[in-house]
Amino acid sequence: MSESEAKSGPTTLSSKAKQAATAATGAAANGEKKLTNKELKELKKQEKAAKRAAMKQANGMSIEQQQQQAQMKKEKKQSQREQQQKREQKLKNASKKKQNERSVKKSTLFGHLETTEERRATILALTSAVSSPKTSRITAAGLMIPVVASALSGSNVLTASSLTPMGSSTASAPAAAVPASATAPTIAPSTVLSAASTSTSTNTSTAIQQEISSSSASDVAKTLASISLEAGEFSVIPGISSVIPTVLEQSFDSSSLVSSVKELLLNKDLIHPSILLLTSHLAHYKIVGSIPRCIAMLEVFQIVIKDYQTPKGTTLSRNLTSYLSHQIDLLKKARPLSVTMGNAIRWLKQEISLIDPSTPDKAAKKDLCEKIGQFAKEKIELADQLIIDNASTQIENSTTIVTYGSSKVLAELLLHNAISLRKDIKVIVVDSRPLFEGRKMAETLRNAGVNVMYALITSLDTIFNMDVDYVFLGAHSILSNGFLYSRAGTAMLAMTAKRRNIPVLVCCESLKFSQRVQLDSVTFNELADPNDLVNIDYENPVERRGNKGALLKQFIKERRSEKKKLDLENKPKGNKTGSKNGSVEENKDTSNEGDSNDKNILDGWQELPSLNIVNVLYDLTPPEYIKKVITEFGALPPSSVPVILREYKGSA
Amino acid sequence: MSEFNITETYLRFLEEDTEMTMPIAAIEALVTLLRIKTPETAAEMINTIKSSTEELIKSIPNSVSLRAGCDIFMRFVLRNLHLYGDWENCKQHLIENGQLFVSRAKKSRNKIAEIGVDFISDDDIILVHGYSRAVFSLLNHAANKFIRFRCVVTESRPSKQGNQLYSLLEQKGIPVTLIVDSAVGAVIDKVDKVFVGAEGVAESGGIINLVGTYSVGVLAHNARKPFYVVTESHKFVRMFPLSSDDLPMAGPPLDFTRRTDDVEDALRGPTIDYTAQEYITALITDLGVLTPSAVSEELIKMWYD
Repeated sequence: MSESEAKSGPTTLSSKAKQAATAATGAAANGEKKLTNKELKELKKQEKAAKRAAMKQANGMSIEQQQQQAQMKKEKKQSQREQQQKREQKLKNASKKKQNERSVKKSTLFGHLETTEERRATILALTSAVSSPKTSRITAAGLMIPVVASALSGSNVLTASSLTPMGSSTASAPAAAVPASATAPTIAPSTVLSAASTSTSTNTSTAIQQEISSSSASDVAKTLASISLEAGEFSVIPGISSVIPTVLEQSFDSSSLVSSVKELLLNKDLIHPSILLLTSHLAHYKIVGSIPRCIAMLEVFQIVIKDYQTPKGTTLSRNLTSYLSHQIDLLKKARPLSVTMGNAIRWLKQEISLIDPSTPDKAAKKDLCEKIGQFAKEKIELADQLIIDNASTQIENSTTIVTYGSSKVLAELLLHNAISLRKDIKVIVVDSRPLFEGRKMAETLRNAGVNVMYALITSLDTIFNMDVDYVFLGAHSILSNGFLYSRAGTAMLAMTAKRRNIPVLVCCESLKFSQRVQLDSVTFNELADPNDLVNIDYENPVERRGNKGALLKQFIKERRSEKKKLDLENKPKGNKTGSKNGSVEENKDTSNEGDSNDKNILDGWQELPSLNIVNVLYDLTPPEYIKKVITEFGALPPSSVPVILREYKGSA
Repeated sequence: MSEFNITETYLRFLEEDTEMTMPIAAIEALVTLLRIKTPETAAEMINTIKSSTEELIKSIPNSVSLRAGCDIFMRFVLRNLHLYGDWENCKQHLIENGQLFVSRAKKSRNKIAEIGVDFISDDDIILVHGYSRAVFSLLNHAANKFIRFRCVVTESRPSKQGNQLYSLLEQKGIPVTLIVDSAVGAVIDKVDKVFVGAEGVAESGGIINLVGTYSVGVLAHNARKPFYVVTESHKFVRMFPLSSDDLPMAGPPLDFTRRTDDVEDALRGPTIDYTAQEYITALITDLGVLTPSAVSEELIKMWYD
């Protein structure tokens, strides 16, 4: 026994050193000492091992016996480590839950809606699980996704240092343990995931080289790391580096959410990589707008169907639907499905069910892909054309048109009228925080030479004094009761226009018609990140949608608080490391924060009691404010939406 | 009849039969066209109808209800074309059914009268603007049923259709009084309900009618009096004007050019206007009593199935 103790001594120590990096901050100082002496210890260890082996052989133990013994010890160690880890985690969870109760806020009014944080955590869990399929599993303790095997732990320090140029942290190798949880976790997930995504399981150094060389992998790693950061709290347990459990357990306060994620994880092997990519694009608002989202989805479905293989014992028409359902479950986690996507999915499933089981798979797949293409063309491209033709009759020469936000079909309509038909139109693009989609619209129109005025919705009253002839609106969806479900702010615009007797016209493909009936914008809506309303990044608001700035800020904030703790607990050393860490990047950000401190009064809103921030994406406009809805079926009053739905149940 | 002229035919139909409405005359004219021209193929037929329709619409200044008739016939043709494999059969069928349609449309006014009679009760004072055969047949029917009601008829300038209606009602023995259009506001409080006809019913459920209907509608709405539109369903037209100036009209709604000729009547301006659906209580049609929003439903059903 003493032998085993002696042998395992150095290894446990070294692994403890890394645990210390994330876990107990008090141990951080200790850890540093050990880490700096690491190489020395390694040498000593080897020496000792050799000695022991020699001793044992002298005692009459065969090599085989020795190996057996070693194996047993190894296993024991492993189980010990796991137990310890569980204990630590429990402790941490308990302490963090308390913190969480205070820090994670959810408006009671919108309590039934999924928050961005929850969504992000889900995606993180899934993405990491899918990119390292072999190691993830569900244990009694919760979701365990040990992304990198313990084999990696030996070279963890190296990883940290080699990753620093990637920009996620400024820590240098010897100091890796000292900046404690602030730096180490950021590094770890990215290492872990990149290693997993390059699908090398054991050799870290090569994995990292690969990762650095292949920018896409590091991109994934970065985004994932950022998501985990965004989710607020995180922890990485070296050895079995599992990023997810803590994040999951903190972000998901409802058990139903956890179970849905678990279910998704169970089916993760079925998920097509292109769906994963699309999910990430959607979640990061790289693809926005209900029509572009729908088109992207249909394109990905074409790929998925092409790659699909019917398992033995079933037919394509039966199995493909459920296979697609798994993909859709994942897509739902990025953002709630848009109505267009929902309608397209419903159509596709019907098409699949109509396939004759006797058709050979290849033919059926080809047929389906063609049909999808045709669907997109008919329902979107041609529909847009008809809408534009119809709406153009409404626009006379020298009219002033107000639009809100950005809409694909509206941009095309206005361009068509201004350029092809040479009408002298003036467009006022009304925009709003925090998405600033109107900028894109204004830019597109301006580039084509249209007379554009850009204004924020706050100046609405003034805008309507400018001799406006029409208000043209895009739509996310039109509900069965004629309500228009569109970007938040639309209702305000429509009501103001109605008050001044300015006709409000909505351009909308019938694909956007929804069977749903809704009377207020609370029962169903989408919550965006409340932090978007807090930080005003005047430089590049669109970029901020990627949450890079917010991430960095949060990261720095966390690190700063961590540093403060260190300073308090360990004054001489903490000071030293603190100054070490304060590299160029941090200095830059301090100045940035200094600036923004003047503006962002709400910065610490998570900690402020009795303050909630709600950032909803959509609102409802009652039909009495809408004069007409222009669809590919012609111009209709909003009350005719259910008629279209009823008459075209089969096709739409 | 060497050279067939669609406009002449149309006008002759209207002249010959005073009971005939514009859309029916248009359909009748188109049926006659088919009978005379005897197109050889389906495509030729469609083209003939299309070009004649355009010609007709261009030549008639007030083309709203005319357009409704042409639309319906065109739709009817398109829907029936593919039902018959045999072209001769198909043509014959079209002509026969076209006439059937005309006769049915004529009967629709009686049906409207039967449906709408429930809206008139004893002791009512009914305001009528403009002369519409549908409205008259309804009032006539009510009087035949011994419902005792009184009528206020507007003069309906500039066409002075009101005078015509006034004399007709007088003959019928219905107590009636004639007022100038500008007096509607003065009497609206004394009136129980308002009946008007329509030249066309737009997709939104709003109506296109003789100028002044809009003002009557607004006044009735303001006084919370029910405003009923009595019209045949073949006047439903696939148009969606947002306001009166969206209507197809001969000239601009407001003409400020200086008069050169010494015409006595300096009156200029639109002859039709558009009354939006929010002022309309219900439409009494041969399909039944419809809310304005149901018009769009009927139109959609008619056009896409």
